[in-house]
Amino acid sequence: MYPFHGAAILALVTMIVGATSRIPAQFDATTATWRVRATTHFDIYYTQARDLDAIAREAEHAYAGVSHDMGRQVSAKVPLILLPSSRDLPKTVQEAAVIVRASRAGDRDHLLLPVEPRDGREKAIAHELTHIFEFDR
Amino acid sequence: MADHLKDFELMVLLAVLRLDEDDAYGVPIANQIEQTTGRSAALASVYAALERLEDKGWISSRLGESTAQRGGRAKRHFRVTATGVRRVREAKGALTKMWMGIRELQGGAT
Repeated sequence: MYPFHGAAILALVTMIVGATSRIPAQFDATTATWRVRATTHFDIYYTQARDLDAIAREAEHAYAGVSHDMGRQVSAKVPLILLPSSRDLPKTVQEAAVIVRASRAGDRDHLLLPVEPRDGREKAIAHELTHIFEFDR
Repeated sequence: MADHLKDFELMVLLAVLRLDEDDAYGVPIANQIEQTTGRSAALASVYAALERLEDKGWISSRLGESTAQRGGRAKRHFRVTATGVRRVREAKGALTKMWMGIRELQGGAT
């Protein structure tokens, strides 16, 4: 009766299956392999080296600005834990604790940062770093 | 030496006074200064001023509940103490006296 319907539905299903197969798997901090890069003021915990040099530069630049404005340094290196994207950020304090434990960053006050999106990343580091300075007196 | 109130510290005190205590923490204080004065207020500069003011006893702070958005960190809420309010009044009085009688500052033009 409506031969077009069958083809349209098949095309729609193909599109949906194709689209969902392109969604990357959810990041699992507990099964990922964590590495550490030390910079002057940070220990950067990461699972993918993508953008690592740029993030290290952005973090040190943000540190210099915040340290200048606050007129002091923090007492220890800041653990900066990298997650692949903003959708991997924890929604609860408990989820954050699982990521911190998996990264082996320890109990120090830490920063969680998504590698993507890149826009505004340094500003986000500076903002969160300010809170680390705030609680490190 | 007298403990004078610096220009930016005065703005921070006024911003805290303008906010309800539940909203008087770092980001809203910086936003209040930016929106009211049009002057940019880096969050770190605001916290540095808050720390100085707290050391002088002109503001006090309390910790709120921790939130997931802040990685489990609590918000620090600020309020101006009675001494702080007195300092703001003194600063206003001194500035007003200095203002009066200056011909170049009469009228609305800059």
